[in-house]
Amino acid sequence: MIVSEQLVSNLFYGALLGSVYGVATMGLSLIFGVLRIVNVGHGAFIMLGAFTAFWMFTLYSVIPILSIPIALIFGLALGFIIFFSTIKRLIDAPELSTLLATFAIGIFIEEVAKFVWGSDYVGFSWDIGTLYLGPVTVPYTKLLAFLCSAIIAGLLYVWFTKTKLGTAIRAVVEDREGAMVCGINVGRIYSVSFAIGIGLTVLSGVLVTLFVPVGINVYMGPDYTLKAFVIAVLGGLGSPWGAFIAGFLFGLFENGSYTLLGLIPGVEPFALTRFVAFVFLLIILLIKPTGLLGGE
Amino acid sequence: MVLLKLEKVTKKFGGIVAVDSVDLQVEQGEALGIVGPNGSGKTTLYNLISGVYTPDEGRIIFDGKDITGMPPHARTPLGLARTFQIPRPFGSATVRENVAIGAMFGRASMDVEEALREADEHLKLIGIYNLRNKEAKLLTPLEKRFMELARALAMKPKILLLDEVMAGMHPSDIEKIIETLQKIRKEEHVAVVSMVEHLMHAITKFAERVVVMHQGRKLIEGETARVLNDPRVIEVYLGKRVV
Amino acid sequence: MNIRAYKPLIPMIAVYGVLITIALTVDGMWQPVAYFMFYIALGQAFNIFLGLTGYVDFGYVAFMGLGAYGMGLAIKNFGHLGLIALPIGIFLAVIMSMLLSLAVGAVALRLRGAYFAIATIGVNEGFRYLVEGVRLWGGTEGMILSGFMRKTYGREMTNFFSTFLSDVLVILIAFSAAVVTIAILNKKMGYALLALREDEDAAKVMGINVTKYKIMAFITSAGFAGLIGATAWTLKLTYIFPEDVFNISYTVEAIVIVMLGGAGTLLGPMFGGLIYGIMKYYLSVIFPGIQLLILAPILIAIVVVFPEGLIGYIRKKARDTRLSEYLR
Repeated sequence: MIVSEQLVSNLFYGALLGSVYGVATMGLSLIFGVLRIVNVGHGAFIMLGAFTAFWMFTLYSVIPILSIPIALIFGLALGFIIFFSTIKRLIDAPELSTLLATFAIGIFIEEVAKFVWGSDYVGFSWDIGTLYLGPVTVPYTKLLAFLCSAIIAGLLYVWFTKTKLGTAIRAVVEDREGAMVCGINVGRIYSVSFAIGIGLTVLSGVLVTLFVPVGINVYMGPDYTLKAFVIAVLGGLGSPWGAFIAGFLFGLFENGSYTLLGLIPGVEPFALTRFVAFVFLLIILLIKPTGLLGGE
Repeated sequence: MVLLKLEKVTKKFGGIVAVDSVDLQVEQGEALGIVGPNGSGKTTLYNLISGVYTPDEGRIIFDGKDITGMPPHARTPLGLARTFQIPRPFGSATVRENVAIGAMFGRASMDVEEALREADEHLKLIGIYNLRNKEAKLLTPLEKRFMELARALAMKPKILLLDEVMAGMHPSDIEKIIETLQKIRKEEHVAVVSMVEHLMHAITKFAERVVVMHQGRKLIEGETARVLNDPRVIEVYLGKRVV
Repeated sequence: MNIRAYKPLIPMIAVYGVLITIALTVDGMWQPVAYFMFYIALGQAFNIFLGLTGYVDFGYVAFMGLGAYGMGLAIKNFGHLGLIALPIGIFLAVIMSMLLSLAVGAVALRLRGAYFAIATIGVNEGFRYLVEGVRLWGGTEGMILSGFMRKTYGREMTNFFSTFLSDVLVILIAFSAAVVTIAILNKKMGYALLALREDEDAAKVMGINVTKYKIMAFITSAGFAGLIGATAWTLKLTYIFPEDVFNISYTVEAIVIVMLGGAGTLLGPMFGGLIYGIMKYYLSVIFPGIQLLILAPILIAIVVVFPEGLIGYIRKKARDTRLSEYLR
């Protein structure tokens, strides 16, 4: 019965973690929805967020929660810089160009990070107690991460539906030309959406550290990129809400798979879960590339 | 002999019924016009026939074969060719290569050498042979239209679906196109040409029979002059009170 | 067969000739020339897919890795039969990489460009995790063949393999990939790929079975990758480590080489590989370990400013001259 207890605990974790994954992927979906650009370098930005949390905590004793706005601002600024230096010139370029460009940007960020911070694994420890709930044992940090994710997702929902800018963005996602005809400055929408997308992604890196405060290193990105894509495709590329919900599902799946695979002797669950995730991605792309919740 | 038959073909997009239970027949060698205001479902109809969309209901039968579920590339070798309203050239290839591609993968399925020669023939026929080595993306919109036509013809189709091919053209060019199409109909015997046009006088000159579409449905069909003077058609285009 | 269409091979043969001559006659130049040829081969092989279809496979190195393992397995299991293990290794390398590409391609190539690219992101990592996770073929510890090879083939023969033989094979692979490229360009397949690269939907309506052609280009490119892995890695280094042979930096280098030289051209990868190889060889002495740091912005710059690459640019300029017959 210890197995099933562990399973329940892991599934609970999975749901909490899933919310973080969801926020992490919303930025990806937003950028695709508005600009029709696939940010292949997605994971590198999560890595930046993770390091932001780490350095803020280690150097200035800033608790991770407070690093969230810092990461957001950092991400927004970075997003604007990248947009105006590179992305803007590629709006009408063939798809291959943006794929390669975002790929290269991701790598560049990783390499600069390596140059500046080295390639060591770092981590920190922020212990504010644990919640004991039946078979489930949850550190408050993870609950906090979940709470923040939910709040952020909620705020975004309100922003998208109630504000002028948010609505304009939704209009561009629906119908670029229609939006132009309505007088929406599509160029501005592009830059803002890209910046927000990057901002969200960097921010989610902080949330990730609330969950996994160790193993932070400059090459942690690609792992998350793969996960983000599975989630984004599952939720419908271009649908931030789909991404959020799909994030949950993925969190559940990942933790469940990790537990179950760990039971098989001779198998390394960590590595194999990734392989399974990848196969899962291929299957989704085949069966329903527009995702379970549409959006394309 | 009936070449193309659409039986109760329907296509919906979300809540909108773009094509609503349409029956249509095209005879071999016929000159058919499909007419209708914007949004009447003409282009969707074309997309259904060429295979870009699959109908939600109904069947499409071409030359005796049920092609309803076939992908676009499988329909072309059977003898289907179409042009696009906004031309879609293969930009970085030359005009000659563009047309040759039609010959290579169309019904005639020629190899590269043959196809290039065939392309030359069609370029001369349409009158743009002098452009043959120009990169397609450098053509003017009008030249692109002509190239599209040449490319479609190079596919040796049994039925040629033209989409607004004469819109915005100079009257003398329109004359030329119609002449060329008539010539092709007569010489290749089997080529069927149907046009989708707002230009009433072009349709009158070209088509023997006309089908009028409105809001996804077939409104009326019949001999050109009669149909175009039918009050219902005039109403659909100009509104109730004008007449 | 139209002989004239193969004229672009002439400048290629000329360049190869010069390189090989230098390698053989100038002291100490064999090693650098072999180094350049590796990158030329890599570019030529990758160009068959990236260049001709316009699709990017971010997991490309996985095919090289598989090829490496194919050769490794052949040597390990058939070495006792003698030299025949080598051709078996070549055969295995090609088969394995082609099978993987067929498996991935049959699924992923039905999708459009961006979705396909996403699907390939995890391939090399995924495969590496598979090998390590299931402890396949030595798992994380990889395969170390030098001891075994020396015992089986003797010291001198093993040396011969890992120096002269592997380098010559790489040169042959590079050239074969080029010949295959121009053969494709001159046949229907080349035109089909051109069409689908320009406008996939229009190509479908023109009667082109785009999935079929994408797959054909994909497995061809993968096969050559396998050959490169088998010769330039296993045969040359006599060891295989999953973290090396599935390392994404080779994919990045391949992309840069193809884009730099001119994607979809015949001569592009040769010049791209040469320029890149030369730069890397002489600069890595000064800047070890930061090649990706330099490569990434270079790739961005190429994509934004110079997407048609070197040969693409020259072709544009030389459009109506006699030179254009030799440039493809």
